[in-house]
Amino acid sequence: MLEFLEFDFMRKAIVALVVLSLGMAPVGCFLVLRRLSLAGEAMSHAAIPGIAVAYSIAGLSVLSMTLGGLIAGLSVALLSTVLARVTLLREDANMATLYLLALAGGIFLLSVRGTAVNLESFLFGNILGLRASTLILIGATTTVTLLVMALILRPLILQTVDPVFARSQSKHTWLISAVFMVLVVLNLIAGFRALGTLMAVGLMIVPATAARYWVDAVTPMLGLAFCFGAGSGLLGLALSYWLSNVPSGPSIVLVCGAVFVVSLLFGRNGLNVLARRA
Amino acid sequence: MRPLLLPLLALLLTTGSLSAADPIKATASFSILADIVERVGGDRVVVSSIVGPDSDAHTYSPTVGDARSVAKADIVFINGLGFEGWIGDLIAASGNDAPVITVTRDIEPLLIDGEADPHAWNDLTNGVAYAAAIKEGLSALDPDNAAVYAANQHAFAKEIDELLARVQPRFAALPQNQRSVVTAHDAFGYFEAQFGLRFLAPVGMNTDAEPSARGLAQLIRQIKAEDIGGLFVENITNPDLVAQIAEETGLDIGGRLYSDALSAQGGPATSYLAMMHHNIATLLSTLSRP
Amino acid sequence: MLQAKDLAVGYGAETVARALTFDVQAGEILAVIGHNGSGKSTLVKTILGIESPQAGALTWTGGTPPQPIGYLGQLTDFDRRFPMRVCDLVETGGWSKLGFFDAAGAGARLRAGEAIARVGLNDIATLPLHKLSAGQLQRALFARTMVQDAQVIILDEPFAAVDQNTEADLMDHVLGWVAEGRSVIMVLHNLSTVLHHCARTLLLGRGTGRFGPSRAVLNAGALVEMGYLAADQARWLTGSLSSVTGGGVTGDGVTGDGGADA
Repeated sequence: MLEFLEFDFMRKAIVALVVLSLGMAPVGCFLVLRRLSLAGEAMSHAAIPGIAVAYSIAGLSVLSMTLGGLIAGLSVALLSTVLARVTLLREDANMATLYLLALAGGIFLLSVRGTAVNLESFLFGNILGLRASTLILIGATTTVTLLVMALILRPLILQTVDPVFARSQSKHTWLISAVFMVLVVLNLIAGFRALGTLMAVGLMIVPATAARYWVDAVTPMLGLAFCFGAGSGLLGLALSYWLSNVPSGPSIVLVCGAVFVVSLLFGRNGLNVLARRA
Repeated sequence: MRPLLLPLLALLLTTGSLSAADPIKATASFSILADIVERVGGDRVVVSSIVGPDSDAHTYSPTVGDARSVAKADIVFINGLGFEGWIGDLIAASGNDAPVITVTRDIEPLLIDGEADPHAWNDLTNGVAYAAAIKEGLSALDPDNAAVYAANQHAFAKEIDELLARVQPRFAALPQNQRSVVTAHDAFGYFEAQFGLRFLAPVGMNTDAEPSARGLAQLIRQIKAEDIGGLFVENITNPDLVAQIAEETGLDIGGRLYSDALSAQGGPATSYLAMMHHNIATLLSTLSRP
Repeated sequence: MLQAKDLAVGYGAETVARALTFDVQAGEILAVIGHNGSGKSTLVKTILGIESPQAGALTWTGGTPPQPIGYLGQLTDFDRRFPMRVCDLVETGGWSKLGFFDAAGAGARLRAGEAIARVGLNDIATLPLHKLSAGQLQRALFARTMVQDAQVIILDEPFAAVDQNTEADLMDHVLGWVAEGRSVIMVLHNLSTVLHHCARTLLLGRGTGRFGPSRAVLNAGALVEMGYLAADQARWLTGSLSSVTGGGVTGDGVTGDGGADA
């Protein structure tokens, strides 16, 4: 059953999934709690002008394009946080507008430059083909994420559940939001490099939503999200090995989805609530 | 004589203007095809390509510029066999009723699991068939220059025959256990048939498909168990998977093959023949090593 | 504790209320009354430092605003679906005093437990927020404010969602704070509460405010002038108050013995 461990690519994939889930679980949980779940989708599109500019400057260099995507994604994320602080609209509306602008700008740049190359494909990798550089990126991202989250957990919780109260206690709550958005983009870029776009966003958000249906406190939610994420990753990977012609990426996201459905049906805070009221 | 001079002059002028007529605007769906159209059409055609060099036609999304190019075309050439999934809508959207020539129409396609393999151009004799279809299309549109097209196509076919004559013996001379190679996706079925090689890949005929862990594991086991002559990356796909296979099996990457698109300017595969030449040379140099 | 001189408050280019002059001492409750849109919440946000004063001066004794500042606001942005139990919410009251690297500790949990008991939520201490009624949530937030242990406490319509009994309970706690020498600023709608417990009132309306002893400020005439009541409402109110308090009511104020003096 476990003979797949003989393959280097399987071992790397397992390690990558566990380490990545460790960082993505807390980020994903707060992304869901702060009602920014679609931010992941937005980020992948927001990265395009960065990639376009990097391509113009340095050609088809994966490193420069990843960096370009990172900078563009971070700019959109930070700008939407700042705008949310300064104007009436909240983060989700600002981000949606900004990422659409970034997307349009990126496509414009690419068309003007006259290239038909599908540059986005260079931002996205595959779980079965992890390079050493990608593993390092994942390790570094998760380490930074865990350290920073440990530091900002309390203010982040307060700023999410009661933003006005948090603001009354400290003038610097916008900084917490900004730092959090940086973590989101870092984890998404690492996720894109390792897993490709669909999987990265799925692995970040779906385990978090599933966890919410079981627990009513933050720390247990973070832990459960990690278990769901890493577990789904491993099971999805294993299924892609045991069954014929099952692609790994979608397989993992489908297992995440199955966990979500089970949580929705049987979790304490899921549809159960309706049954008990009736 | 005098009264004939004026009409003669008029005739000369009109025929002169006919032969100095604007070249035909041809649009080809991808770079390799565009190059063959240029070979057959010569000075008489101006060719534009929708999917450019180093680009993947399987996953391409056409732009408004592409629709414009198709709309202005006098004739459109496509590969067919499911290679360009987006072309039907593009042509319909452009509202152009210019002739659309499917260059593989007279070719018997290879079938993999019931599905046609679109990469027919990787067999050089099919390259000749492509040129023939192009010649017919251009001649139907511009019969006055049919002879030019026929001559160009003939010259092209001759170059291909010469190339085949040179390389066939070298492939035939390869030992049996040096005939298997691994590439990024199943693009070389026709090449395989023509030269008696065996191509393996972790991804199927369409680059859009995602590899499965099982498929990759089976491929790696197969590579370790059998004699694989070489590992090759391709110009249009992400090299990560092949790199992983290289790491896991200990094989070196023998070079880069051009499968679905020409290379950009300055690269080794800026025309169909250059591309085939480069692929053949790369394969032979790796496989001929002891 | 806090002094405002000619203060103007508003958002961006818009000034909601100007020429506000008032002060709050230790051991007293300042009531803030006003019609909708008179600037009550804007004033609260300015005092908290969330908005900047548009003109005039807002000075704290000691120079800087106290840290922490007790605050129980309106619940428009509060996320009731956040995964948190009553005990967790109450505990967050003590977080303002913690630095980044401090652990919460057992002492914090104890203080939270005490506060929960005092607001009568012991039975549902582990209930998640999304299962609380409005009144229970309000009590939980009161407990959080208690845990904050602040010298200055600002309550913005704290009794909006609760019934009279709960209101009376919570008011007792407020009076307890006052007795301990803390300063309380309360935005209220219930004039009777104001008159019973709050020595001084700031009445906002018509773009400005009037400040002074509650009974002087809250006369029928002023309430109408400042847009808080319509003329016929004022007549009805003074009539009903007089029947409750048993004292005489004039157009200039409420006399006689009513409830406790604040």
